[in-house]
Amino acid sequence: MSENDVLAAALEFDHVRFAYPGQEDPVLRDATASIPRGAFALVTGDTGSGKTTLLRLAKREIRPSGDLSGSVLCLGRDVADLDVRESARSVGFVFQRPENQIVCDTVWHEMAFGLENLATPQQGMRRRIAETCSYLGMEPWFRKRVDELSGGQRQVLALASVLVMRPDVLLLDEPTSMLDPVAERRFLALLFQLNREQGMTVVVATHAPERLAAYATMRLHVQDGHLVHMPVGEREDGAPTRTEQVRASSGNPPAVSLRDVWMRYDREGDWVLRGMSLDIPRGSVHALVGNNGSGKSTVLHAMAGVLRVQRGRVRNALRRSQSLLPQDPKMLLACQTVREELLEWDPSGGEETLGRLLGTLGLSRGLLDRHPYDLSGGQQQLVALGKLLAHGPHLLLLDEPTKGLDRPARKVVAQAIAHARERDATVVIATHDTSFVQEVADTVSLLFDGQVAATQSVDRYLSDRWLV
Amino acid sequence: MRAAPLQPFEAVHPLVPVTYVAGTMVLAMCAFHPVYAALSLTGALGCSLALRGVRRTAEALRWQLPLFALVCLTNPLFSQRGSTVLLSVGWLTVRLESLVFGLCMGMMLVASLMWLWCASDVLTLDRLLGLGGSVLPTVGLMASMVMRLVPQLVRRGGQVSATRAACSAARDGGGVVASSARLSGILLSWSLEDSIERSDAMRARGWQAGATRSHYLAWHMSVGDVLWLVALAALIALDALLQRVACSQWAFYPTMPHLVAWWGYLVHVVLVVLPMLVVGADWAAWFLAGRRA
Repeated sequence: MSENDVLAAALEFDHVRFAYPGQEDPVLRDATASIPRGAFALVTGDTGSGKTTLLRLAKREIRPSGDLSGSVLCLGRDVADLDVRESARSVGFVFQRPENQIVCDTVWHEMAFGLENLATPQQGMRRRIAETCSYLGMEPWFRKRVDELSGGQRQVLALASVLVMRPDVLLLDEPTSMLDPVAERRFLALLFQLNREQGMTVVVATHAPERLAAYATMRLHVQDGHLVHMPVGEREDGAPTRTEQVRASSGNPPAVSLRDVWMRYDREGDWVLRGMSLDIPRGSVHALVGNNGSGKSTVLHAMAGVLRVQRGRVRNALRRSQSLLPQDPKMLLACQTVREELLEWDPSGGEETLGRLLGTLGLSRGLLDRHPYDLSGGQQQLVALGKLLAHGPHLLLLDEPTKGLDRPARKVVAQAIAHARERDATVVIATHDTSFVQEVADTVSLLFDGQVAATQSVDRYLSDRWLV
Repeated sequence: MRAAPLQPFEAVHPLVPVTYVAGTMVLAMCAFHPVYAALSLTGALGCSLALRGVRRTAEALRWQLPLFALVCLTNPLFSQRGSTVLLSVGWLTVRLESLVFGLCMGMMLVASLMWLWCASDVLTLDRLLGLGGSVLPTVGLMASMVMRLVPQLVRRGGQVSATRAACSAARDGGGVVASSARLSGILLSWSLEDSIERSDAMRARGWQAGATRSHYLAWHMSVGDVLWLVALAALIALDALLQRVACSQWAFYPTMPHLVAWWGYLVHVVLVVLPMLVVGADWAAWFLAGRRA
C-alpha cells in the first residue's frame, strides 16, 4: 500500500455529473464530497433524487450506463480503473431486497458464491466463511435453506455474503426498508458494530435517516444534483399530524368479524391463529399491529375469505365489494401501462376516474403511458393502491401499505385512506408503522401469539404504550 | 425441514448414499426373478418405513398399490404364454406363468419407485451438488439457482391467485384460460424484473471475474468414508453377480423351474436391509447412551 493509499479518503466524488441515456436533465449535476475512512455516512434525499445512482457510480460492475463526467475515487484510485476482481473485493454493495440479491438455495452456498467467483482456494474460503458467520452469529442457520429464513435473516445473509469478500468500503441501498422494526434494529446494530469495531467505512442510502442518527458520523443530502453536508441528527418530520377526527365507530355493527378462529398453513406446522376473535365496526379504520409472525397478514387473508380456517367462524358482510393490497404491489400489476392498470377493474371509468385517481395518488399524468415496472417501488405501490380504489370498494384490506415508502408517499397513502373513510368504506391495515397508525387509524388491535392482546382506540393505545 | 424420523448416511460423505442407492436401484430394476423382486420390495418398504415413517409410506402406497395391481393383472389378461392354465372363461385364459410374470413386474416397479423415493430424502440436492460441484461449478450453481427460484415461482403463483381472489373486482375476469394467462404474465414480468437486480447482485460479487470458479466443499471424504465405499462396492458387485446367476437359471415361460433355498439370496438380504440396520444401530446407540446416563 503506498502512502497515497493510506491518506486517501474511502470514497471521493469529484465534480460528478451524470445523466441517464436519452434524458437531458442530469440526475447528478456537480456532486462533490469526500467520505473519510472509518466513516458511517448517510446519503439522503427525496425519491428519484439520485441516491442510488450516486452509490452505484462507486461500484464499477453495476454502474448505470449514461453520460458521466468527473471522477469517483475509492481509496485514492479511480473506480473506473479497478478491474472486476479488485472492485468485487474492495467495494461491497448490499441491495434493498435481499430476496433478489440472494443467488443460491442454501446459506452455505450463498456465502461461498462470491469467493468461488474469485477462485479463492478451499482453505481460504473455509477460513473467511467461518470468520464472517461467527462474527454475525449465523451459525445456527448456516446449513438451512434460504426459503426457511426470516426476512431479517435474509438481509443479514445478504450482508454476510458481501462481507466475506473483506471489502474496504460497504455501500448499502435502503437496506432496512423491507424489514420489520425488530429486524431493522438488529441489522443496524450489526452495521454499527462493523463500523466501530472493524473500522469499516459504511455508506447507507436511506429515506429514514432518523433511525440511523445514533450511528452515523456524517450525512450527505442529494439536492438538485448536488451533495450538501447536513447535520446527522436533524429530523424533518416532527410529530405525526392527523387531519381527521378519530371516529368513535365502536357502536356500529361489525362489517367483518372473526370468532375463535384457529388456523395453520400445514398439518404439522405451528398454529398461526389460536382462537382469534375480532370485530371490525363498519366505517372504521382499524389497524392491526404486532411483530412478524403474530398473524397480521393471515388475519387479512382470512377476512378476505381466501384462507381455509381449521376452526371458528369468519363473517364478512362486505365480501362482494372488497380489495386487498398485498405486501408486494407486483402481485397486482398485470398490465402494460399505468393507464390500463388503473382502469383494469373499472373498465367503465374514463378520463374522469383517471384524473381523480392521479389527484389522490399525487402522480403526474406523464406516468400514465409508462410500464408499471418502469416506476420506482414507491410509485408502484401507489399505482396498486389506485387500482384498488378505482372501483370504490367498501372494504379495503391493506397489508403493510407504507413498507419501503418515503415520507411524501406515506402522506399520499394516508390521504387516500382518509378519502375512502369519507365515503364510509371500512379499512383494515396491517402495519408496523406506529406513526402511520397515529395518522390514520381509529382503533388499534395488538396481535400477539395468534390472538388479540388488546383492542383500543388509537389515542388510548398510544398513551398506554410503554416499550416502544 | 425434512419430516424423516431418522437419516442413515447423514454423517458420511454423500458419495456413500449415492453409491448405495444407485446400486440397489439398478439391481431392483433388473430383478427378473420372484425371490429377488420380493426381497427388493421388502427392503424398499422397510427402508421407507425407517426413513420416512408410517404416514408418508402409507401416502405413497396409496397410489403405488393400485399401480401394482394394474401391472399384476394386465399381464395375464393380455399375455397368453405359459403352460399351466389356472382359469378359462370363454376367450379368456389365465395362466400361472403370466400371472407370476405380472407379479414380478409389479414388485420391480413399486420397489424401484420406493427406492427412488427414499433416495430423494437421503440425497438432498445440496449433497448431490456437493459431488458434482467440484467438477462443474457453474452447473452446480445453476442447479442451486433453479432450486431456489422454482419454489419461489410456485409460491408467488399461489400468492398472486390468493390476492386476486381477495379482490372482488378481479373475480369476474374471464375463464380459467384467461386467468391462467394473466397469472403467468404477472409472474413472468415479475421474474424478469427480479432477474435484472439479481444479475447486478451477481456481478457486484465478482461473477464473470474471468477466473475459473473454485468450489466450496461442504463435505470432505475421510478414511472411514473410503472404507464404507469399498465395502459397499464389493457387496453390490457380489450381489450383482449372484443375481445374474440366479436370473440366468430362471425362466417364466413355458414353465417355471422350482425355487430352492440358496445362500446367494442372503447377500441380497444384507444389501437391502442395510439402511434399516444403520438406523437400528443408531437408535440402539442412543438408547444405550440414555440408559447409561
